[in-house]
Amino acid sequence: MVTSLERVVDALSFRESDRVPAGPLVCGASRRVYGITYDRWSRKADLAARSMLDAQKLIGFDGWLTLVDLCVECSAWGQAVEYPIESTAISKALKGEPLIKTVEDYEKLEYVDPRKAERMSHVIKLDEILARERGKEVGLMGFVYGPAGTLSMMTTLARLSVDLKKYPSAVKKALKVINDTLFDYTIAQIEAGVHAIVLDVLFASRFIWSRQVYDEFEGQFCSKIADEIRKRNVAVICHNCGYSTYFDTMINWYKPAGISFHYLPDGVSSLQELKEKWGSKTCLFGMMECPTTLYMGTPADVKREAKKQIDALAKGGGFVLTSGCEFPPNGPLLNARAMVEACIENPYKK
Amino acid sequence: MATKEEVLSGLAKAIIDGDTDTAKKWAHECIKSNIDASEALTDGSQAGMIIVGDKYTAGELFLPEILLSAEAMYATMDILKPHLKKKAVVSGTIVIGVIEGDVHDIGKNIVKMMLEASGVNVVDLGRDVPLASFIEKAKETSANVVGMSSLMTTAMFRMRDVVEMMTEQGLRPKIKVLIGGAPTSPEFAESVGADGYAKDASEAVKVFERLVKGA
Repeated sequence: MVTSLERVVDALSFRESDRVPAGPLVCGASRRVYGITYDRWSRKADLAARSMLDAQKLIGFDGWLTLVDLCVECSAWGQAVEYPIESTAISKALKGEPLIKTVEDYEKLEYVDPRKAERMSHVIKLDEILARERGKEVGLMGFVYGPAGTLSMMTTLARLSVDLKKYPSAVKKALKVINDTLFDYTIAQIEAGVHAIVLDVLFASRFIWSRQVYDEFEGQFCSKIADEIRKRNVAVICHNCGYSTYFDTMINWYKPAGISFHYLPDGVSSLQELKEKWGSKTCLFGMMECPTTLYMGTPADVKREAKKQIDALAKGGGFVLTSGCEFPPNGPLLNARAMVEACIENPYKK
Repeated sequence: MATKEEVLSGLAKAIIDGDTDTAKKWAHECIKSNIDASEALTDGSQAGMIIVGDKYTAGELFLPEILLSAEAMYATMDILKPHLKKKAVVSGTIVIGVIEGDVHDIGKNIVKMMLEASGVNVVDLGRDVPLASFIEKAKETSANVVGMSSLMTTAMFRMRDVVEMMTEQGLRPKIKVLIGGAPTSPEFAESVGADGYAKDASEAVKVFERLVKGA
């Protein structure tokens, strides 16, 4: 019998498995399986692990993503974070309390040991528990928010986007320091036993930064992390849930085994074109739409959309049916199960 | 001495380039040359910003550029507004904000800039806005439209509560509702009872105009 992990490895190796692997990226939503509040799930590794183990058992998906929230990284430098009881943690930079208040603050950031940072340690421990408990059977993907994304959580994206034009050297100094910490954070997750690292590179998108700005302010830094991941024989997966994403840029910098995405990438207008253009270059992790289909839709809607994607993208392997972003934390769990059922019910096209 | 056309096109170009210092110089030049401040705003600052918005939508400009242009536009508005002889022609009023439970306001801010560039009176409530505040401010300002945005699926359903509260208070359909934000969609807008949905800032301007005209 094929395990979940083998199924994902088959997809990454461009082989058809017994069926298409399903990854609804049930992260924060898992708290509702174990019955705890979001704020506790976000900060207690053992509770988060129990939640994710139980969610996998209940739903039957093929891989975990240890994305807790996008504030894990920035909190290591002391960025204040708010933990709502029933919603994702929020960086207080977005509420007018950024850690970086002046241009000089960019240059004050110093290296942080990820194993000593409270929230990064939480994720490392979460990785360790999942790897120990079910890591031989279920795919386990660690998660790292890229250096630019991490910095934006200490400044806001708007401020960072302006500052990189006005004060490029100060911004780059901060990015270098952040990247050094993220580099070690990545290694710590690999040592904890993950099979892949998902690098969230959200700003490689036409609606955020140009390719040139992206290259200069994230690609050149974050590629060092990707190189190290590959050196350690662990899969690099890029995640970008933005609109019109730059697959070419991500492949150029990170040489990812797979790209996880929400919407069609820049220059692509159909699923068929996506398969033709990128389907042999990287494993496609996508692209079940979260707000409308997974959150507002019914299991029947989910299955209909999943079938369309499996028919168009799965032939020959190189495809994992995933949610385009984290499964909606308050969304109906039956829709996550419907994704798994769709993979069972829809074989590879001959 | 530069002609009026040269001054206005210089002002618009500085906005497009996101060059605040040059834009301010041209704005001062408008005053010095006795160019009507309202005309300078419309045919200089706002005209430049509309081109920036179009280029952003077309993928020719990106977030850093649009933000720098906005900075330049607001700097020129500060110079020109005190010289307005009569109140600028306003095509309507919108009360806008990010719904309670969400603090992601970058998209809302771009929509605000584009609406202001189009002569709309924008009352910005900011982020994490309590539901009742949308209604109170809409009544207070006699707004034509309430605009709400959200980036989070955990918060976006609160838009429905605002629409229901507006209905209960007899404000619908007189005051229209426009929504946006990455996880929202035309289907979602319909499901919460909104009158319009805009996928980006340029579309928000068009939908606003349509709602105000009652088309």
